[in-house]
Amino acid sequence: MADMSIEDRIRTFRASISSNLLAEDDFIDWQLIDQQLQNKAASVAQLQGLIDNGPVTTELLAAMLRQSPSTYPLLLDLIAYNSSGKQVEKWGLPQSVHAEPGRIDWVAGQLMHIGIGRLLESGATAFSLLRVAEVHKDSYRRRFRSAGRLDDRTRSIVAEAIRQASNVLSQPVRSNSNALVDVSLRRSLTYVLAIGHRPIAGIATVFQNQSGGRQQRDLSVFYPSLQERLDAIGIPLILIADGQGLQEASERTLTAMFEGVRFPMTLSTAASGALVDAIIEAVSLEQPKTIERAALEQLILEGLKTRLEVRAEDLPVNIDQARLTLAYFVESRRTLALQLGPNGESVTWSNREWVDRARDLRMSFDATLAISLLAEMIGAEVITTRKSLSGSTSTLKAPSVQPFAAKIYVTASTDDFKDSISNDIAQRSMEEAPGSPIAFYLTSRRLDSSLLQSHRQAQIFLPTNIVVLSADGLESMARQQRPLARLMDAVLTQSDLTKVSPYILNNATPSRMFYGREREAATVLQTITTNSVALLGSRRIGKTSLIRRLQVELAKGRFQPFFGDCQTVRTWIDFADLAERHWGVALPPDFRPGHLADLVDQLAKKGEGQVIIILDEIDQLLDWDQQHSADSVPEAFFRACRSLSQEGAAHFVFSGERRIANRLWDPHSPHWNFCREVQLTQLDRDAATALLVNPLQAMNIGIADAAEFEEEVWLRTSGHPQIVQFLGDRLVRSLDDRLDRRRLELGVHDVVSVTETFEFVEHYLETYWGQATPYEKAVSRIIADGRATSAEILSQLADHPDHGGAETLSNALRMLQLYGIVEERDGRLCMRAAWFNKALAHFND
Amino acid sequence: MHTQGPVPLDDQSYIERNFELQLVKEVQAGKWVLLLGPRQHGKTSALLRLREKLSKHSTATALVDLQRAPPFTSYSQLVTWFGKRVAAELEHATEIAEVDDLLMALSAALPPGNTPVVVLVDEASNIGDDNWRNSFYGQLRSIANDRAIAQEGDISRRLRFVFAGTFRPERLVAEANSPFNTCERIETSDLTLQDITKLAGDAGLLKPIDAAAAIHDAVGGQPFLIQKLILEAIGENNEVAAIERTVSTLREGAGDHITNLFRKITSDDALASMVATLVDHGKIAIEAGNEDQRYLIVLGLLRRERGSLYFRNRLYAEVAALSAQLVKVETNDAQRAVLFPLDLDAFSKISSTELQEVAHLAQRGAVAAYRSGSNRLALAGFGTAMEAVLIDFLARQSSGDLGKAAGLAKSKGRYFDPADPATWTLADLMRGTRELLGKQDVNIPENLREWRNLIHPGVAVRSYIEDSKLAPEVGVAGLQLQIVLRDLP
Repeated sequence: MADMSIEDRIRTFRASISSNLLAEDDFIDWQLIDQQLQNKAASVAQLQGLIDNGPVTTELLAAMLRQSPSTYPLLLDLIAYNSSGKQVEKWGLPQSVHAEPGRIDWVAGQLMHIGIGRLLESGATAFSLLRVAEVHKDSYRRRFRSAGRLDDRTRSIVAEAIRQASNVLSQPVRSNSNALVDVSLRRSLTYVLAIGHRPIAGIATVFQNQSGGRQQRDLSVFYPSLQERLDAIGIPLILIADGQGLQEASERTLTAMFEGVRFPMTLSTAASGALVDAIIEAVSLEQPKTIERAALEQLILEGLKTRLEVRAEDLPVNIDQARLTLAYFVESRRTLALQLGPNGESVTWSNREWVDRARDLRMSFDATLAISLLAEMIGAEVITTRKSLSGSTSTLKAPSVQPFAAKIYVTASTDDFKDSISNDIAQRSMEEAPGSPIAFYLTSRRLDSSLLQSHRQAQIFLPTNIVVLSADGLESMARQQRPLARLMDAVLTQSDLTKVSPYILNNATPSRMFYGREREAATVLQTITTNSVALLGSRRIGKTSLIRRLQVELAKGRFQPFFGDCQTVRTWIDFADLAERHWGVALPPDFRPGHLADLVDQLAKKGEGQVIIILDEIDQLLDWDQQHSADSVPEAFFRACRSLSQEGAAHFVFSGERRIANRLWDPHSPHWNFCREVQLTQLDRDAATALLVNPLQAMNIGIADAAEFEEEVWLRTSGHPQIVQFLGDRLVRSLDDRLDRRRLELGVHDVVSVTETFEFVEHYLETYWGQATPYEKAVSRIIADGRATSAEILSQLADHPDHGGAETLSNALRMLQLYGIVEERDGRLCMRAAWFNKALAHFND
Repeated sequence: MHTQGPVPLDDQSYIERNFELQLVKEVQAGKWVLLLGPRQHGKTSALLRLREKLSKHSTATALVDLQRAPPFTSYSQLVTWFGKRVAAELEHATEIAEVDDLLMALSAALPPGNTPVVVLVDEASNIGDDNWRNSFYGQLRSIANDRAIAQEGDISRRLRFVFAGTFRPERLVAEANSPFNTCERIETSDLTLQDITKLAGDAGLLKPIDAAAAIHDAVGGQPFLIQKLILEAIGENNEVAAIERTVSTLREGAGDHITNLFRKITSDDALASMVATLVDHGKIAIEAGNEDQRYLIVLGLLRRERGSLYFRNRLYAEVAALSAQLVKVETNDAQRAVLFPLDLDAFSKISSTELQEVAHLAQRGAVAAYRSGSNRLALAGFGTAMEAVLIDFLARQSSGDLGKAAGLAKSKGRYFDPADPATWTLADLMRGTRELLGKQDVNIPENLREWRNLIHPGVAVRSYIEDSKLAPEVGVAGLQLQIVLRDLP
């Protein structure tokens, strides 16, 4: 296995994934259900008697309950009655009627009132009905059952592997979580294996039956990070991972997992010996480092630096020990691009040629060669190159990762970097690579560490960061598995981080930062062939970003999309100006809604395919349309859109907030039912997490305790894309204050300290509330306070100046649901923006 | 010391504040910025230094002060002037034809290339015409939106704006048209006690630490007032006493700084009511999204501390407590109530332009007379303003309603015409208005008539009261005019 390439190991891994982690009775425990029914057979017969002598009346029901109180729980099962305190309080049905014979008549009446008679109709079979009811009850046990069985299976495999490994090893291995001092590490592991009190390996388990963004991130980020943390204390991670989700995981995800985790395996391979082997290997790998081992490693390191290759015979020990030491050296430095020769005879750099070229640059710096080496290592195409007296400059096509823009400007020179040349470099960078937050300066000598602080400070005043890379730095990149990661370390160390923050706070999100919205996009694309669509959502929820994306998707299909930003369109004439400027049509100077048909004709002639007119931020134009009429026709513009849409001449995608929502929701409006409504609220958890975390990963910013970090981010944003990006931006900026920027890492405490600032809280509340009215704000405060029914809310609003009864409240709730602030769950109102109440508290703290 | 205009670039005593570094950071990160802060709080001085810093660091920067715009007769003149100012600041010799499209004007104004250009717009609220202002900022908003999809070389990718001023961004332009929503918001910050001590030392005060402490205690970190107080202390034997004397004068509403600030407050009912609450309670809780609270911070009157708002300094708190237009003032001989002129906006309910001007200026005249110690003249001024307000109200009524109001006239003058309220006496105007509104709706003080008539020497002598003792009546008259302005439909 050790000799296999990663691709082969992944192939083998995939082949051993369990086809189904769940046994048939994991879903429904039929045995238990049959047992339950059997236990109640007598009561079931009584109930059947009641049905057969039907029709069931309150009196007959009461008589049966009096005679056989044990039939009462069956009736509760049939109506799926949860006899918890709240339900009992609300509906008055007790858990049993044994203790309350005096209430039986009332209880029977109440049961009839809520429809028990419909279930006990003539011809019904009590046994069948109760069997279904038992299936329902069983569903609550399902989660614990399947997790429990998987845990049992894993426990048994681990116990057996420990037993077998201990038989081979000189000292027995035990499962002993106390061997690890770090509690958070302990929590991330299912088992800690130890010899005596010395930990030798950690075992984690992950079972996934589907593969989404979060699942993939767990595999590609969380577990490799866990391995890194275990590396710090010198023990490997054994990851037992299984399930259909692993089968569906991308090659990239599994590669990251295999690169990052020392011993990944499935349940079946763990059971068939891989776990035993891993434990034995872990023990042999993790002998305490002796002075001799440390000295050998130092020799290897020096050899690699000076000669690029170290052979086993170069080491002053016997050949077997030398090979073992080389293998250990490679194994324990997984981020370095090291290549172990056959049978461990030698070790060299995987990117030997790059290392060699970088070493040459250290000896004799050549500007052109330096640039081409950098370009190769980061996979960037050289667009232009110019030579100058002191060196060379190039514009590269930037790698498509954060925080790079489209191009990078690179200057290379034998001259040491001085602040006096920074203006010139910055200006040229802005000219050659506009918008790039980083330019590189390659030179023979590294930036003096005493100058680092002042260099960072000086970057604030420049329009781009200038990152100085020495020949040493290039060599260090060449030695890495991922040279770009090392480059990013230099960027983070030297930059003004305000410039490199990739989060978009005040504009539409470009495709590189677009996550989620698949469901909404699919709805629009399915609908648009036959109908128009209205995208409704609050300010900054991502309507424009989605619409821009849809425009691209539509253009790929059999459509002709025409996009118009109506944010500044306030009249029909403004609209005509927009159409003329952006769509290349000629319209009459006194444009009226009646001319829309002519506009559509002109657009249709521009190409083939259905004309789709996309009008972003339509509220203002809608307002104008409501207040003006054409030839006595009110709301003429949107009536014209409607009739064009119904004729099929063109379909429309509108986006807007309150006004369009109110028009579409108003049954008296001519626009009611005009468009298919698609509401845009928060991102789902996977997309929101990816939006925050992926750019951080791309910038090589680590995340401590990823699961807790993501949980906290979710709790404090509820997935509002703008708030997520605002948080991301402020997290990146918070790193600016760190003097030591090596191995930058963010954790839960950073999320807490950023979100508990007045700035964030104010932003959170203002973004969620957006254009909410004072009445809507009052309603949201009341729900945040715990009131969950309309009656409770109305009673709290009695003194509000805009108090207008149930209909006003209903409209307000609808708007607050559109804003993603509240939602209805099981008939009760609650906060969808879960942190809202805390934000309000912090605001006035 | 610079109490007039910005601090010159070569002034070594200039103290840079934190917000200035933040400003550079945001601009050089490609952000558009909204810089808000009180008047005389160092915004223009900061912009001048920002321009210098950016220009020294390869970033072409233009500073356009909208307050310096000449009068225009068309929107295209404004746009073209703006484009030309940008070109001139960038030293780009170019012809800009008259256009009404800001994008075109700026395209012509910018030198060719891809490098960023920063445009600093000082006094950004200073476009008087509502339509022009909406168009101007609407076009800027379009440019801001275009940044998301702009290609290399598009000017929307090159342009970065900083808008500075003392205004409500939510109200300056319609929200959908506003470029301010796309900006990072930065607020100016006060000077620290340490800064004040340095300024006092640099200015040559003998006991800079004591003087700084006295100044900070009175006016906090307000840069203009600090410099004013330092100037007053220069050359005085007892510097602290000189500072206290000046603070006393300011407390009575002296000087443009206090007048301009409190005029904004007293001209706006919502702001006035909030400040009155603050006078009563010492602090008010912050409400998320409350524009009025935000504006009071921008104006400089209030500061935020944790979850509450407080007066920004002791001086402002004392002036507010003495303002008869904000609170009921208990005055004594040594301390007169403070009155402030109202903005024209406060008279917006008056439909006749002429009557609006009469009322507005009569109120201003009344305040000026009061401040000069002429209480009788002040009462006459408030009476005039009241009369103009009521004539306009009655003139807007139907002939039936006007007839009903005229029917109540008692002190009909010689020229009384029931169809023309301009011929009615103030007392009849009051009676008629009360009839139409119902007594409970507005309580118009008839005694104002007597106060106004005090301008006639004969009337004044008939029931003589010494002019200096009429100060309480002036305070009440000023407040009652504001109540009428508030309550009239």
